[in-house]
Amino acid sequence: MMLKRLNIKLAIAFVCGMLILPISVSQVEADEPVKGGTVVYLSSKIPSLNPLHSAYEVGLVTSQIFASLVRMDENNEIAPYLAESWEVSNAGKTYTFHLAENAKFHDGQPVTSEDLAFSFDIVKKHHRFGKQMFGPIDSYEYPNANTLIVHLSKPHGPLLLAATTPRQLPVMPKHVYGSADDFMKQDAHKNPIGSGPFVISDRKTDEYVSIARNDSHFVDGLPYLDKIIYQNVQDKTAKRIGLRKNQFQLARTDSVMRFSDIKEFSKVEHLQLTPYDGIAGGAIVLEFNNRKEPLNNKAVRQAIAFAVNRSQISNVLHGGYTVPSRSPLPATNVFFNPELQGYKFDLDKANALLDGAGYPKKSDGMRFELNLIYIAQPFMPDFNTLPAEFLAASLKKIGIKVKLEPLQGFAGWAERSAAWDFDMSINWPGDKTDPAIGVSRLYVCDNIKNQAYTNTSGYCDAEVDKIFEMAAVEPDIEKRRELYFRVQDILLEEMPMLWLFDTPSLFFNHKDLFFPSYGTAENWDVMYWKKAQ
Amino acid sequence: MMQAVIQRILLGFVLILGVIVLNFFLLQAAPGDVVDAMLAEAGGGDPELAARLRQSYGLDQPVYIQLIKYLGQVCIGDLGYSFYYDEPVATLILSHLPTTLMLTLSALILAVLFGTLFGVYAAIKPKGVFSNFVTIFSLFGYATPVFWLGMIVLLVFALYLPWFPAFGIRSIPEPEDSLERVLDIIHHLVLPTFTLAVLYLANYSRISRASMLDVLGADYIRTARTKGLSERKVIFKHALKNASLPVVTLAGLQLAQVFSGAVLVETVFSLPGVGPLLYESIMRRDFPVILGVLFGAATTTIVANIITDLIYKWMDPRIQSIT
Repeated sequence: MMLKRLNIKLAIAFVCGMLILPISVSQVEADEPVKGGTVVYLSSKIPSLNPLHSAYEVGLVTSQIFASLVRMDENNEIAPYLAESWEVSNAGKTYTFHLAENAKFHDGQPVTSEDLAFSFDIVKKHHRFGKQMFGPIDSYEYPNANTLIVHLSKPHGPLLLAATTPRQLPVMPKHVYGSADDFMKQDAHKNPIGSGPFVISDRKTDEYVSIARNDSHFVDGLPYLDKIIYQNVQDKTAKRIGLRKNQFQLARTDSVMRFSDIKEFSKVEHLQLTPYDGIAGGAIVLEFNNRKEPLNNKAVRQAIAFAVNRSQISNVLHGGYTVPSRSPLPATNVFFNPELQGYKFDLDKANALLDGAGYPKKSDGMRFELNLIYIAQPFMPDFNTLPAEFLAASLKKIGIKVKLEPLQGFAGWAERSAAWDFDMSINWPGDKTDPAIGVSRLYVCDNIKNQAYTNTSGYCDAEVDKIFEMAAVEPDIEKRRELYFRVQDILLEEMPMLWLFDTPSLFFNHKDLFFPSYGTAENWDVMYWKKAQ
Repeated sequence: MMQAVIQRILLGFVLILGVIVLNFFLLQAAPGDVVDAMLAEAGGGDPELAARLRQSYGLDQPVYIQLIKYLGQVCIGDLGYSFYYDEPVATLILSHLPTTLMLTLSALILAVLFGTLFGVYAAIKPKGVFSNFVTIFSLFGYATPVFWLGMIVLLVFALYLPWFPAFGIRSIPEPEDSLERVLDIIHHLVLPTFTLAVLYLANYSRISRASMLDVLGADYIRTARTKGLSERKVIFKHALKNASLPVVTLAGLQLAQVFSGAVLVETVFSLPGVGPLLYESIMRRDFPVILGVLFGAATTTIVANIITDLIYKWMDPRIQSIT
């Protein structure tokens, strides 16, 4: 483990170009990165190569084609990437970025401050979180081709964190992407040009995408791999056969199997299970419609929280591969308060709360009925159907009848969620690394909107609003932490939703493959074979 | 004859128009649209962005205007633009069509050929061992869910006996040599074709067996035999031609399905065909693609019907006089 750590550091040393090769290199030859080789990733469909496309798998490819401004290192700290260095001044309202001078796009043109400003603007306008990430950007100054000064209308805590992945800030060449009338519709999305470690080499829609090393990448010595192939396989049986037979060297477990099957595959000799070790997280939550009786009553919401034995979901239904949530923030989040324990399972307390709230059991043992909407397809049942059924059984014990309403596809659920047409809803909001991007949106009053993934629960509290607002503009990370600790306490007390379990990502990779599971787990330029294949 | 054909073709156009309009309204009834699906899939988005996307896709306009626009486009051969794939629908369908056609047509040809032969031989000795085998096999093929059969075939012939690939239409990287490339594709198509053919074949063997039994009892067959014709001639020349009319009917019906009738098999074997494209587009509410595929399917159905009619007239001169 120690050796491996050292070696990851080595990899990062190349990335940053700041450290000098330590002399201890010869001591870690067991884990020495082998240059070259191919990795086949078990993928779903990759419909487009538009870096702002909504499909998860598209981002996996474009994260290799494009470079971001900064990136996460193996300690999950922000490290230089396209920006060699930066300064923050003017009380957090001015950022000055110095771009790597040797950074070039795949067409040979240099990456300039104009390209960076252009990318900020495109993302701000077209990205799903553009406003939350870069909304306060006001104007730019261009002292020279490699320096960009960004002026903000107010301090903005999440700015750098938002710029750590090409999923959120792909730096795009203005001369390629700037001419289209509508950014989202243009030919460049077929053959994207970025400045990242890989270039597109071949693509057949709905079959595969193949990318090859960018020989003139601006980070010396990277990438290690020659080629990555994203192979689309739809059927679960075929996926499992391929995984067993080493036709894929990397796969996310949740696209292949249920939690209950992971143990069996862990026994396959060439496979290794690697948990995600970064800071982006998410949780499956039971959202309450805070507008509707009886859920507008805090005691009822708390009672439901006490009635659900969440460790049973994680330990029994999920075989221990998920953890019960302890806070409104996933435990992976930098602002998570590790002292929080969440609600402990206690049926007596739950019943007492409901009795006290004025909802006594009727003659049939029931108090009231609530509906529950969730996506039955295309997710694995582990995340939606199974928890939904478990919840229905749990709540029945305290006299709440649950009417299950499974919905097909994202669209069916999104429509109901947007119309606030539910009592309870199983939702899967990611934290998008920074609470100012991915968490506050679910709780603040001015984001109560007819749109899925906004504050559809209708919770509204002036103090919570104020704290989220202060935390977003606070440049000092310790002060931000204090604020987010406070908001976690309030939300745990108020229970606008029940945070069921954190959803960690798990990967199967070939045991001879080093898979960088930190940061966004998508810095595949530092992925390498430990032995020549 | 010519006039009848032209009449059928004109009627076909009206039918296709009707299909488009009907589909268009059916899709409007589905909950949510492509913007909902895309934003929900990505885990967020604000209403302003959603509104801008709807505007850019033309979804903010009244349904009848969308319909008129779409019909106008289709008339000039433009099937629209896929929001999800960032590609014109026609290009998308054309790139998925070869895989589907290779699969469905080869399965259909195999099924007609072997299914008819099975049926004929079973009919010659209706109480024999082979006849019973055909009956049981047909029952099996008829009753087996195709995705289950596909899974079993995958497990047996791709995992336990790793003779064939488990997914895809080609190896990556593809072989350099063009002959090897063709062989590679055939290698990938063996399992899906077999699976689909078993399903189809059951129908043909049942129908041709029943139809042959009917015909073999007819007077003119007895006459043929008493003339002293060889049994072979009696069966294949006299009996089969008449007995194969139901087979042609069935083949015509299935020919209509070559465009999008193999969704499950294509999904099980991860083939980049029209079926999975349609399925995916339904899940994402990518209306232009759904409409495009359904348009293609409707056109194929109508063309297949016309072809079936023509074959009928050629095989059975009595039909000519009726029309």
